[in-house]
Amino acid sequence: MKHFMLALNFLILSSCAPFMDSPFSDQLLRPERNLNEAHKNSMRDIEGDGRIRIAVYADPHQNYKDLDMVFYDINQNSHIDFTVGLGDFTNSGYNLEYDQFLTAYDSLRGSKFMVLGNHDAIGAGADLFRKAFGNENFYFESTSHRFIFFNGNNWETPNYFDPSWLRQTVDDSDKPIIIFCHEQLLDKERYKDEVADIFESIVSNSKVQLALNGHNHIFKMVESDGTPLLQVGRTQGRHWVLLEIQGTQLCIHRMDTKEQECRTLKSYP
Amino acid sequence: MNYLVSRTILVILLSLTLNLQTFASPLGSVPQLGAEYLRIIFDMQSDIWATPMTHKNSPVRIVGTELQIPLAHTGDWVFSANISEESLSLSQTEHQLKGKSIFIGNNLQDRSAGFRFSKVNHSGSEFSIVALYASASDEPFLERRNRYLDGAFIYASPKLTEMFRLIIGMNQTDNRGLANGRPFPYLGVQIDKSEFLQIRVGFPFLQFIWKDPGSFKYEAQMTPFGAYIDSERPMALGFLWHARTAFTIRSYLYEERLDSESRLFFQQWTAEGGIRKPISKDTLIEFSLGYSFDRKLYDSDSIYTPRNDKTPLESDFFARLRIGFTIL
Repeated sequence: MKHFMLALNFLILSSCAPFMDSPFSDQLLRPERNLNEAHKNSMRDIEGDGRIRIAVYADPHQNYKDLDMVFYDINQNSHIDFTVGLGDFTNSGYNLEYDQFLTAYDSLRGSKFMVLGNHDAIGAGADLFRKAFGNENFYFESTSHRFIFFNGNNWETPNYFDPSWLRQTVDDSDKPIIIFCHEQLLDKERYKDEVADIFESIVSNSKVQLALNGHNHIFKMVESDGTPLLQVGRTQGRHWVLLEIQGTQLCIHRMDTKEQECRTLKSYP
Repeated sequence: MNYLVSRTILVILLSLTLNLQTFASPLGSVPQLGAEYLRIIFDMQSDIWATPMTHKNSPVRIVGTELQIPLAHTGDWVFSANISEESLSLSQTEHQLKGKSIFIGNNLQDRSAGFRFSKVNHSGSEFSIVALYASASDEPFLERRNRYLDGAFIYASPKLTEMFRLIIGMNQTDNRGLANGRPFPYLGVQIDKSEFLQIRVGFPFLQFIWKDPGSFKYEAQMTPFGAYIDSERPMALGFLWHARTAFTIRSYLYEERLDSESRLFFQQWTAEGGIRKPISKDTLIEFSLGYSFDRKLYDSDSIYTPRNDKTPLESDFFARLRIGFTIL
């Protein structure tokens, strides 16, 4: 009976979840690793029908039910070529937040990519991101475009912040470019001096057709040197954006309000 | 003393018998009659084989909490505040219902808050009136059509003969499982067949309780909303071994339903065994392991007429922890 009681106590007190050393550690319970790389490698020809359709959402932290709805909405649209999360899927970069997000992320179908947000990079967050999603800076190409994913968290991850990699990756491309970054590249508060100069030159580069960011939680479109800078709002209210690119034509569908805006992008070469 | 014991037993038995959904729990199993003073119940059922740490589906979890706080009372009556919540996590948000994909929030919640007045008369009769502000949705209280008032009146007569008592009830709720939004009558008798066997029968419920205190207890109940068989035997050190098989249905008003009359029904069979331990005369703790199977989701305005084929969900082993604290 004594052994039975000890076993019962252990069973009840140990609960149903695996042991975690600390919420601040870089230990992940979810088994996913290098997701960005895995999806990059499994990309099919996304321009088979002559159009590129990209679903983009941002900043789901604190709007987790809305995030579920956004994933559901994206799943209902079978024509989407790939989905990009613009970061800040956690509040404090805790490992348990990563695990919970990855559980929800698992339900999102199709090719999907994630950039590192400033909230995701707090504490061990950047290391957790590397485990789950792989390197923060990467790119892939379709027939007509290069898609660059960049870690813009200069304050939170100074060791991983590499503006020269972005410049090099833009310079190397012989295709028009679309950049995904959590922060806006022309953020005057965040980027100063040499870094600001690098990013200004990148945005004004004739190859850069479009740059997307999240971070500020509201939908906004500005333009600099003919390059649209599209800021995607937070997922609150089921907000996400569908981009349709055909040649130099870009149509932006705002899925919460059903508003649509089309414009002509810079042509290159 | 005998009066107190018999009244306590009556309260428990009647509460198990009556089919009034006034608190969060499976349809057809909620209970209120008698001058209960304080009541706190926590009940959690969680899958233990499927975990979020694998690529399998996340666990289905059902967590229920009930709280009854006395606001005023005398020896004969109690006026109390009642708060309850039950949440059902289906682990996924995308489901196939009516042949198409629909979104159901990952945390369906059945919430209520309100008041209850109970009185025991000198003649031996007693009654309870319950009024609750309630919601049962994946967006509780946020959608206008998901809010409703739950009301119930229950009356138990004094003993009409040596064996019989009459039970009369009336319930109004938007989430009963059938005849939603309309008053629903309950009428039955309690038959004290012997010291060991009690039967409650009426419209629409049937219950047998066969027990020998200190030796065994068998209990079976059948209602239009579900059924269970429960057995309990004492073990050493004051523990009670129990086994239970149940068929339960839960009803929710998920926000994205196409019409207001639709309800989302979650049904499951469970077979479980475990131990119960009365920590004190007021507190009971229960721990069980079991298997849940034949889990299905369906959409309808009545539990009997699914609009389309029921959608199966994965079966799984589960653990249950239940803590009950009741002062009568």
